[in-house]
Amino acid sequence: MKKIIKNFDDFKIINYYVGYVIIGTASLMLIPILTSLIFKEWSVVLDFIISINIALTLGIFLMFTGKSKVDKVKVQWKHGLIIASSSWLILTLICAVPYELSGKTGSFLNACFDVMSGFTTTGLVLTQDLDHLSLGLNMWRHIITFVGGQGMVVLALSFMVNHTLGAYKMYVGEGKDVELVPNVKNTARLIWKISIVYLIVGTIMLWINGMFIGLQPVSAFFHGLFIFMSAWSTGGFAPMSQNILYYHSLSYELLTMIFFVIGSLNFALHYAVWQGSKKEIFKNIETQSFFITALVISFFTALKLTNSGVYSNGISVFRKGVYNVLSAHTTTGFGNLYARQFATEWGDFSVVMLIIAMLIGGSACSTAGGFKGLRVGIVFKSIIAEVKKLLNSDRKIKVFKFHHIKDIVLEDAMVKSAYLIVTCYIILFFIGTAIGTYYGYPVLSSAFEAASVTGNVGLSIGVTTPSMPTVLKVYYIIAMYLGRLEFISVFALIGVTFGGIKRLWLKLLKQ
Amino acid sequence: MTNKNIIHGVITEIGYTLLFLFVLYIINMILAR
Repeated sequence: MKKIIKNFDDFKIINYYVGYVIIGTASLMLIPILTSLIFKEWSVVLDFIISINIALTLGIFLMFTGKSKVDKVKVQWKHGLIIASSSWLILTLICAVPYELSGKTGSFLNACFDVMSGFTTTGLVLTQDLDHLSLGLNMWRHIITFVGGQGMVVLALSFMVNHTLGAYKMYVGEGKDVELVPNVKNTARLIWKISIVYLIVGTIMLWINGMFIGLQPVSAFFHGLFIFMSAWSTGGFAPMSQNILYYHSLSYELLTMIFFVIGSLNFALHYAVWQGSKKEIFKNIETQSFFITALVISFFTALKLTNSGVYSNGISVFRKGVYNVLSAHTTTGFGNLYARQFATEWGDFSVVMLIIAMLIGGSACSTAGGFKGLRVGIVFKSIIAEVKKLLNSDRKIKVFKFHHIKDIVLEDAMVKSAYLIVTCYIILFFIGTAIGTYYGYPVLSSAFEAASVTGNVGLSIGVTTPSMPTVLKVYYIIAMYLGRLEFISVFALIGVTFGGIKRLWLKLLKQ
Repeated sequence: MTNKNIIHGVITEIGYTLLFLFVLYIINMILAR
């Protein structure tokens, strides 16, 4: 009996914080409501009013059910992990309502796919007729990807006044583990401060550039705002169906490259540089890892594209080849090519290079996906350490270190954790590839799309369309979700759910 | 963190990223020759 009451308390405390996160994120629907009111999109206003009502009702209900326990029950690790993972699932369903009501998605599953793609900063799209989407829904799509990059739990924590004791556990549950300052609430606020500063700088730069390339001032502003939100979050959404190709502008491509590369860096690195520690950029294992892998992959892709005569000059190779490699490596997913051009023009070698770049991804504790530069660095260092240990005499005990904001000793637990996550990513990638081939897609196309969803990239080779099999859509949603939350919190949710089902089953059997 | 720190930080990050892109651009131009 005691155990049942305890389980009920767990449930209540999770409800309270999930409700809190839902209310925080749903409040953002006020922005598209305001945008649609200004531009007189009355039906869109109605869609969002319905959606915000559903979200707030559910959020308040969940908070109400757990309110009595919030001061009495201490937030444990299992609570934190489940709060983060279940918030993402529930928010995906809620935030898909305006998509569904717009009538542009074809089905609710497609709407959920697009929302999960936005939250996880993937950028794959199933919404139809993007070029004629309302401004309100376009605003919502890009807010979703901007907030998803920083994290909805991080957003909720920024406004949290009380009950911050268990905040770190929820923060870790969302795939972030670096504290910029000792207090998690202040860390969350700093993450938002960095993002908002860049939002202002980036939007102004893209706005001015948009006017120079011939967009009307108001249109240039919204294009600049939307593209920046996507670039910073390494998201890949764009207001037009042609993505970055729509602009046909070198300056626009250059600006987006700058912002998605900066967006893929660790928030702790931003904070260190802003504090005046400029050398951190060169010393940090993640930037070193990113610099080397991006340079090597760009070099070989450019070499192949040049030698096979796909592009006639260096500038074209840079604009098409390097742009897409960096977009893949930072897990952004902005593209200035049509999806099928990867398969029909680039050739197998360049596509394989893109797949590797997509799987490696950006930095830990950033908006990027993939198995992250930090883990690539740790795996590489551990290999060097093992070789050195073999070559040295057995009696010597050597300590191996790497630099990530501070000097860190390479411990076995850290190496094990890095290998574990990398293995999980690779398994997820292989399953995705296998399912793709089962449904008749070529191996390379299946692998490309699987890498894109696993690494939360968003580049497509043409597999992701509204007409693709439902099983593949569901698997891609799961892969995006697992990839973004880095497995552990989702495994915790699965473990608790199945544990509960097992206990209930055993209880029924006994009766 | 003062406003001066923030401006310096943003300029530093944009500057180094541009430098990195310039390195990639130069490599491309050499390969294309």
